[in-house]
Amino acid sequence: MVEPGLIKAAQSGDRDALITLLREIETHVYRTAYYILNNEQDAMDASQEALIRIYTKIGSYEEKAQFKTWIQRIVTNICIDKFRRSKPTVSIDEHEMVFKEKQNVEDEVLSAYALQDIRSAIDKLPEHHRTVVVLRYLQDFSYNEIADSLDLPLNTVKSYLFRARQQLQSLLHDYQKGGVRG
Amino acid sequence: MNCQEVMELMQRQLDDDLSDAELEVLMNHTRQCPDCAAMFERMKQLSAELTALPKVTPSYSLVDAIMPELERLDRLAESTATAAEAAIVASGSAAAPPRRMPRKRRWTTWSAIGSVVAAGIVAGLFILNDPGAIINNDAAKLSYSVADLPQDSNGQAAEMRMNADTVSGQSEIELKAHEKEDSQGFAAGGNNPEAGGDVSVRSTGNSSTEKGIATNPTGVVDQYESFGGESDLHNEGQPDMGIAVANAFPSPDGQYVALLDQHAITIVSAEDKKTVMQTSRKNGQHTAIAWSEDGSQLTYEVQLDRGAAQKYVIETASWKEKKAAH
Repeated sequence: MVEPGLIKAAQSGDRDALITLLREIETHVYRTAYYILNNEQDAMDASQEALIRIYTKIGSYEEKAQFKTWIQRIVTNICIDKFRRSKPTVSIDEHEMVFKEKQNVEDEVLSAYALQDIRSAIDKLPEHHRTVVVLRYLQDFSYNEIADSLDLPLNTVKSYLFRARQQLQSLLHDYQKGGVRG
Repeated sequence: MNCQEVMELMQRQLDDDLSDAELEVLMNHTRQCPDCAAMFERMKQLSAELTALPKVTPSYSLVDAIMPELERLDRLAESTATAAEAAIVASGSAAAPPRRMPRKRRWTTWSAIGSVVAAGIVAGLFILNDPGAIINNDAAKLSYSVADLPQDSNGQAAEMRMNADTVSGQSEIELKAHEKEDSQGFAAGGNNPEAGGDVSVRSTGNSSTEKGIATNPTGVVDQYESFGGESDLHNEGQPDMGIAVANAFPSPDGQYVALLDQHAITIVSAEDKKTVMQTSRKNGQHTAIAWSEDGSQLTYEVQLDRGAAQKYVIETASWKEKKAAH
């Protein structure tokens, strides 16, 4: 998590502090963009745009909000805008997946297939449902933090998340029943 | 409790949101209802898979990639801050003491941009009067945006803008100030230690109107005019306003000077300061700018992402640019 002292320094015009801060958050910003947009290049563009916006708007951040939700609000807004503009395309995944756990080869192959299923299922979710899922699982946000980031009522966040999970579950269940994965 | 209600408990359990009592209700139900038990298993499996999604990281540093853009924004903010200060000075006492504009960045200036139209025009004049302006894309962009701003109902703003247009259209006027300098004088804003964004207001008196502004009915505009009067247009040989030209590379035969902007190189004739060639904008830091000994070629490299670099060669005979092998 970003230290409050660093945020203060960045806000008071310390450019080095601001750059350090951006470096600390760039991975978090990218990860959200990557899973919302489901495309490495778009995610790169969106997160660069988000970082530039954070750079210019750092002065408008107020301490009453959590810094991490303020950041995620910026990046999700940019992603949702981009998402709406871009036409739906067949995405060919070029991203190299790196698996932290080294299981046996067979397990690895199986989990890779499951991963493709799960990514394509996420891709089928409506934008807000997808965004809620991304903040819950990639940023490990609570209901309240998601609500703050997306400026949505708490109950709406819950209903989006629950519906999203139910839809994902049923999509993945279909994949399994179909026997053909991926 | 029906299965639909239990579904909500399952969902909340995935987020650790259940009280002990609620958890017990859920467990009691799934023990008796195989459908819900199976569903709960699938939901837990899903949640585990979502938790295990790869923690992707960008393949190169995003902050490094946006650094040129951040620097451009800083320069823009600085010139706006300078202009805003100028407006304050100008609208204050006519006998304002000489002062230097602080270089510290100002967040507040972002919101001030829209409101200080006249100040923006002053900024445009500063930049247009600056010898570096014609080769500085960013400065040019600023001056365009200034010209596009909605004008005040009083005619002075429009006059100022026309003046700006005139100056930008005639590069000879802008460069007139430097006729007495050799090509080295282009570098680093000459010998003025304050060059590089600081603006000193040394003259507060009225000045001539040879730039094309016919009359200046108000003191405020007179003050603006005095800013203009400070410029090199009137005081030849004092390259001190605005953004300094930090990167100038004179050719060995003294015929040309290559001026490096962030993402492009402009080659000007050393004699009449006319632009003879400008490279297309390239994304990446320009380095290793060098003339060949006979002055027939200019080579430079553009640093690409991931440590790679592309070398370019410009032939002075044809002013054609091409990529070169390493």
